[in-house]
Amino acid sequence: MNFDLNEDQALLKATAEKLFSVPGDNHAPLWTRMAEAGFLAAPFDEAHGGMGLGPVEMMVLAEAAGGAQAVTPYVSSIIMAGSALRMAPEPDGDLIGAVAEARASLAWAHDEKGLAAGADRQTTATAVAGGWQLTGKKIHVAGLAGDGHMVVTAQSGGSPMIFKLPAETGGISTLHYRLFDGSSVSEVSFTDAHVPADGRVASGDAAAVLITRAREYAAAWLAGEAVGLMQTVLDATLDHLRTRKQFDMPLSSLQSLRHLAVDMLVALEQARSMAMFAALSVDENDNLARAAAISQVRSVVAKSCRLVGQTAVQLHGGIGVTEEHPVGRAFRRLTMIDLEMSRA
Amino acid sequence: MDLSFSPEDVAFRETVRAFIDVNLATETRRKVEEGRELAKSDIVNWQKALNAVGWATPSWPQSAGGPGWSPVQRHIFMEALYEGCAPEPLSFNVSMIGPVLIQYGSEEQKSRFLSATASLDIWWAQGFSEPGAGSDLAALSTSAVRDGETYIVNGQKLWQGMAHHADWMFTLVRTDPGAAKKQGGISLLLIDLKSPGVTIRPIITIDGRHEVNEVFLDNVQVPVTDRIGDENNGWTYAKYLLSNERTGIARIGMTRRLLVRARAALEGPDFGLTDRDRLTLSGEAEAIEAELKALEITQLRILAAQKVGQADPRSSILKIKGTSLRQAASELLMRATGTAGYAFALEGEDEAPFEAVPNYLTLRAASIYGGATEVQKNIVASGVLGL
Repeated sequence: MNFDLNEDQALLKATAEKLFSVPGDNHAPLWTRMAEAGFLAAPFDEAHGGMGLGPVEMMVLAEAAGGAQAVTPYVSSIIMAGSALRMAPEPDGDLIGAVAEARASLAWAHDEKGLAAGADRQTTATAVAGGWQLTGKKIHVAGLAGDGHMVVTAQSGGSPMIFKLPAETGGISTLHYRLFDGSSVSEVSFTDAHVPADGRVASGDAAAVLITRAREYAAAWLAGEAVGLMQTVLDATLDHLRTRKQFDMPLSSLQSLRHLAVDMLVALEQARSMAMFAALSVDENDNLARAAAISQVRSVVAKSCRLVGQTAVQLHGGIGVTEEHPVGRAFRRLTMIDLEMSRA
Repeated sequence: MDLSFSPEDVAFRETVRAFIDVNLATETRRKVEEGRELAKSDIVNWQKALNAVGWATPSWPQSAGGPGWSPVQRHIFMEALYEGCAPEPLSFNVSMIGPVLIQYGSEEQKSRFLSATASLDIWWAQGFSEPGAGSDLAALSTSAVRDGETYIVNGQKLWQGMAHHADWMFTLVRTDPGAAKKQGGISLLLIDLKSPGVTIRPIITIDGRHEVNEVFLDNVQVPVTDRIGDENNGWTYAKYLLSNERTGIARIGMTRRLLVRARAALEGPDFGLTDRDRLTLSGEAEAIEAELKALEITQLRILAAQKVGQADPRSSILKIKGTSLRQAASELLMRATGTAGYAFALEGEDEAPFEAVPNYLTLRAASIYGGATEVQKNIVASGVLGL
């Protein structure tokens, strides 16, 4: 039993914290810096140009990203679409290599209006000469670029399928918008969009497994990101309690506020334990044990995000509900993670 | 990073489990499993069985008769006890006064008390709280006035758990009422409960049980040689004692047992629940189970970082969360078993037919004793958060 980072992991942590600490939240430069540091290659096999990092290393990256409140499409691109590609029955080494080296962008197109995350898709795939035709609509697709690629889930007859295709494919139209946590996303409509035969990533049980695995890796990442975020939010709250004076005394001298800060710490430590549990469970071979573990991770992390976020805003007072304050923005992201972790 | 125990630790756990299987009396096991009151003999017999193999005092150093286990092995041992429905070694003896005797006792006190403390030939009670001194323990007013080689002790102590079984009481008394700080004038005395002037009265708690007592001390004569360490330095020893009391107090396995019983109740047809009740309560059970898993890992993280002989204020997190989860699990069990728990005791029977409600009632005290949740939060606020 050991909870320490090894030397390489500690180095990765230092590198990641340094990279994410560079000020400015302009997405493109940060994404470029992440690419240069090799972070886009992190989970992919070395044979495909990846870094071959394991779940603990990914947790380290997630925590650093969360701690800096980085807003990027990493979960969609590298974690979800990325794991579908790398775990496919026949991984597409060329596309993976291009994504890892940031020569191609990648987006996970899965969510649909009114559908639970694990439910059958309403987007349909119909077999046609030379491939398939996709029809349907995806929402909240993060990381989509005009010249990039996406990984799309669909239903064909009674079974799920997963495709990869260029965003420029005919029959696709997009609408761009923002989510409440600040991320840029797209609604993607498919009208008889043609996917060639080699665009099929997986079908049937194999596709169902990939969708499940993508969601499990996302949960593990979000747990780590949430821990980083909550630590930042707790630190900011403690600073505020120490420095803000009311009634001629610092807020930190008031017991009810001190106790609320302790509640935040307890929730954070519970979530930190679960981020570690996620990292140490997400590659577990036993499907049932892994699913049970990830479900417990989701439950605890969601609750902790809620408590830490809400309490941080409360303890900051009015400034905590403003958009310009980091705690207000962190609360929105924590709320997003809470909602995503709570989805069945 | 690795959550699994080493092969040696796994083998150790199997050894402990096998020992419990062979040596724990069936009746004691049943009582613990059902959360019922234990007789003195249940506790004494089990402690003697543990002591026979040197396991009765897990936290004591080897030089004082402890088993020489690592923090992880101690954790494994305690969790095996909870899982196997075995009583804990008596905390008053093993976790509280034992370490104080080892650290601060005179050679004469060690040779007189240590071995009998381990074997439970002497049963200790804790004489700390008073009617006017609860969380603010240093406000205590029981007085000890020096008269030659004897102290004359007068006052009232409160909440003495199982003092009706006890032989001796380690007792905080005020020896210098004029001390500048109230913590300064306190001494720690060992009082023979058979001494003239000692009266023990039962307090019946809301669970209908007699576990705690009040102890009246009326001109009780205590030899000066039965004082621990220096006069007026008792607060130091008390703080040391309390820091030991708080370590490793998450009691994961106990809570897990309550959850197992609640699950069985929810999945069985016997308790008159509607489908909606079952759905709601099952959701709560899942949430508590997840929090308990997290706490188990939190506890292991704190254990792994633990330095020998150093109190870690983070262990207060274990007490705060551990008691709140145990209380939540007992409430869940109570709700899952519906009307079955309403009856307290049937005429002519010692035990209530079903213990879910008394258990729930008993456990309301868990966040009050051993340092109330609010006191633990004060410790974390200053000791961990630096507020």
